[in-house]
Amino acid sequence: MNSPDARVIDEVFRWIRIFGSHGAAHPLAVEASKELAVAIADARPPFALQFVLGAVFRDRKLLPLPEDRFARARTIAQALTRAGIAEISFSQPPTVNDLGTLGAAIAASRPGTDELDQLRLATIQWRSIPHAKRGASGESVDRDVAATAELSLALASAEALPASGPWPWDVGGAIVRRLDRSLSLHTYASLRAIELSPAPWSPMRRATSAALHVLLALRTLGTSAATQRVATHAAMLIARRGLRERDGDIMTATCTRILRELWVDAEPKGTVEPHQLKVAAVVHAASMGVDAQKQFVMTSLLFLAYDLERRRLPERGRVVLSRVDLLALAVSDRRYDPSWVRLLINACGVVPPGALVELRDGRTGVVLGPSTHRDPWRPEVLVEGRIVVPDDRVRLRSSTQDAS
Amino acid sequence: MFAERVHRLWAECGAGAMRLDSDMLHVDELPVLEIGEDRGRWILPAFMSGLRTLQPRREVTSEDWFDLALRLGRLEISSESLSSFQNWLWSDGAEGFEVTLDASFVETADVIATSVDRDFSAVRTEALFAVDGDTAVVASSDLDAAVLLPEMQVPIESFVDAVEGRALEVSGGTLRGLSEASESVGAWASAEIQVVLASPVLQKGYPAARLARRLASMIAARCDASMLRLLVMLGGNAKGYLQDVWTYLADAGIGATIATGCKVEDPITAAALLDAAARFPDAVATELCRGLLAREGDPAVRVLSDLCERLGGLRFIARGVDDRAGETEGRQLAHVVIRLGLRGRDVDAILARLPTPAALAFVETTGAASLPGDVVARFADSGEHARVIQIAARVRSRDLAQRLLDRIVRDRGARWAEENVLALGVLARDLGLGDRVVEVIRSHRIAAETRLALLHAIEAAPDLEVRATRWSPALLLAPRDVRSAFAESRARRRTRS
Repeated sequence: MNSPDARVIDEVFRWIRIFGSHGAAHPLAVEASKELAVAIADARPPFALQFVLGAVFRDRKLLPLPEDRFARARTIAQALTRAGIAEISFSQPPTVNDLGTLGAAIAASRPGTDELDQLRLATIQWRSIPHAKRGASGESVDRDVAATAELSLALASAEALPASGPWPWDVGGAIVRRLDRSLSLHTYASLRAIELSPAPWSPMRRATSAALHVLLALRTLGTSAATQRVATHAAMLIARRGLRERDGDIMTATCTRILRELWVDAEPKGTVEPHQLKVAAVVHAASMGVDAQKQFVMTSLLFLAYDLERRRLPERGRVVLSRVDLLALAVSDRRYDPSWVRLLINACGVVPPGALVELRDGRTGVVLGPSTHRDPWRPEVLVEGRIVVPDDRVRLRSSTQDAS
Repeated sequence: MFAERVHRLWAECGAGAMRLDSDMLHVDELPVLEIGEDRGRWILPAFMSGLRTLQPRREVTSEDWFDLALRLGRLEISSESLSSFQNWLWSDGAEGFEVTLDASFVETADVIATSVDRDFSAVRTEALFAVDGDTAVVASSDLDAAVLLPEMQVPIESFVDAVEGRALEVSGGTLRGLSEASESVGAWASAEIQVVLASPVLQKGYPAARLARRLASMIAARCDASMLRLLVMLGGNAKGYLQDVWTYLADAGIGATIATGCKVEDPITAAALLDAAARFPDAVATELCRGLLAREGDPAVRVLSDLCERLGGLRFIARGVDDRAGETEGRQLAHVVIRLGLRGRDVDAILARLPTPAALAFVETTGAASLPGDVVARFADSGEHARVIQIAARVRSRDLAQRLLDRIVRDRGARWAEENVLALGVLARDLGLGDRVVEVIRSHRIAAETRLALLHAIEAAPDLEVRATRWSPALLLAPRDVRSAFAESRARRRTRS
């Protein structure tokens, strides 16, 4: 493989090796910088290379490299991350001088120092990525930050989901995986991120919220991973297709439409994998009406999650209900299966993130999640821009009360 | 061919899980394959796609191995290739394997980059700060004044009351109920089948063979009443796609799987089994009945008895009994006969269908008072001398004793244990077959020890003994111990007289 990217990897590898073993003054180092400058110019800047997990990404896309080049890429990534560089950007073809200066600085740098931070070059930029060295299980990362990032990516992907037509299974699956990882990393950070995001409550965000809560309920229940994936994916599919800017279609009608669009109008491309079949099965069962749904309890959970998000933004008015408002509505509404309602409340917490609460001193705040207190009525609350743990129990308020 | 070989060898060596590191494949935690010049090049990209462990399931086929090998062979280190492989695994595409997946390199790099990308569009900086600390900003939309609609009055006070009154707690029973219902194999299978049947287009992407395989796998995992009812619903008169499904199910031995795996002690499952045996397509129903007969214990007998009544004796036998039926089947059938109080022609009809080993066990267990002629012939030729002699003694079957004596003659006494010959001799004498016993004793074609054992058996009948030991020139050809025994017998009688 002799793509420009592969050549850049080869030349960076040579450049690092020569600077490391011979020093910047050696004639070979100058020659290596020249060759690297040409290779980068051929690769058409501007672009950035990221060095994460021992792999090299170009503009956040994994570089397609054969095994021998990958070994070199790994060596490069290790050398650069040791010097505190996780990303190098070339806004234009670099000069040989800049490459020589950077090469010398990398060769001379010691781990844990900020020598490279003082250096400024016109044609090359670099930065560290705080979590780029994280292990496979994320142990060195702030779990709540990683959970929020996973959820943010899920939301961003959800924005790309089409409102009709064939379902992009790969994108849907990637969203479900991210939601799963987000909850695994930090349940309350995930719930907080979906509930407190300043972005509007678009159908995509509500669909993601519905899917997240289905997943949360099933995780609490301890069902198998396959069941969780399928139900979450189905919830995302149904909610994305059924929810409108405000309100949304009723679930059975939405499911009937989905089935028609998925496979009645369009033949599946290639084979249908078991996961896809199961998702379709859930949607089909959910399209059969309440009595038929009782045969397949999963659909009751989907109905609950979907319908609550539908009610979050009622068609008339400008009301936006928070999660706790929705849970309160669910408790008093006989259409929902009380077992799933209770399970969901227990999974979210009786004072879930995003709930509007009143403190004993009369101030109003928003719940961020449980505190270290055992009492669920003394959660962490965001009050006037600061996080406080109330001295006394808080009082729940509904969003609509506040509006009045 | 390669896949078949791997499949066979894997099964033969009984290996367990494969685990992947970035440069090494482990099997049962032993390193077996390292990335090299011309081998194991798939290991790194597979690891980067997030694959961590891979364990063949019991039902794995050579096609599964082939499919996996094909996809591993096509893997390359690129975002598209890794993501595609990861999606295939995540969607349970590797049907014959149990798979564990971690985040792929592509996904991990995304999230790492995102956590520092403060201008991310979907969740802006504030949301990230909100989890970081003091500078949090509340989403203004949540605090916006809204037009209050009467119908949206949220019952927050009653919610609080319910929480305080602990009315919203979830009991362990509820959790168990929801969990079991969520994982119900029958409910899932039913939903999957219904969606496939509802969409002819989907059937093209999910052929009958795959659906059948999936059903078979579900049944092997858990065969409960709901699963059986679902299969009954599919019915024996299936057409088209469903008929194909049944054909594959029959090939997969689903009847035997059900018979082995179902809980016959559960009355609901037992009732569903009866329906299943009556309404499945013939091939599967037959296999199911045979499998049930091969199960031991009282619960199985109860189900079999109900089944016998439901199907009628002859149909039950036609389905349940074939040449493979052994002693277990014979004993279970006997228990059914006893339980139902069958006798006479019904029992003879069952016996007539049973292969000899099963028939022997059947007769021993029922304690039958008589034996049909053809069964007598088969028992005599069965080679189970001790058991058959015992049966003959119990039913006082002159015919069977006669045939056993004939058998001795045909065997020339070979392979007959002395105690069996003795027992047969006593029985034959008691049943009035003394003449035939004498004939055998005097036959020079019979082994000496057999003749002597028979002679011993008729010691209590002097007239027979006299006839059996009478001197004749032919005795000169007999073995010495026979001649001696005969001479001793004659001498004993002379002394007595």
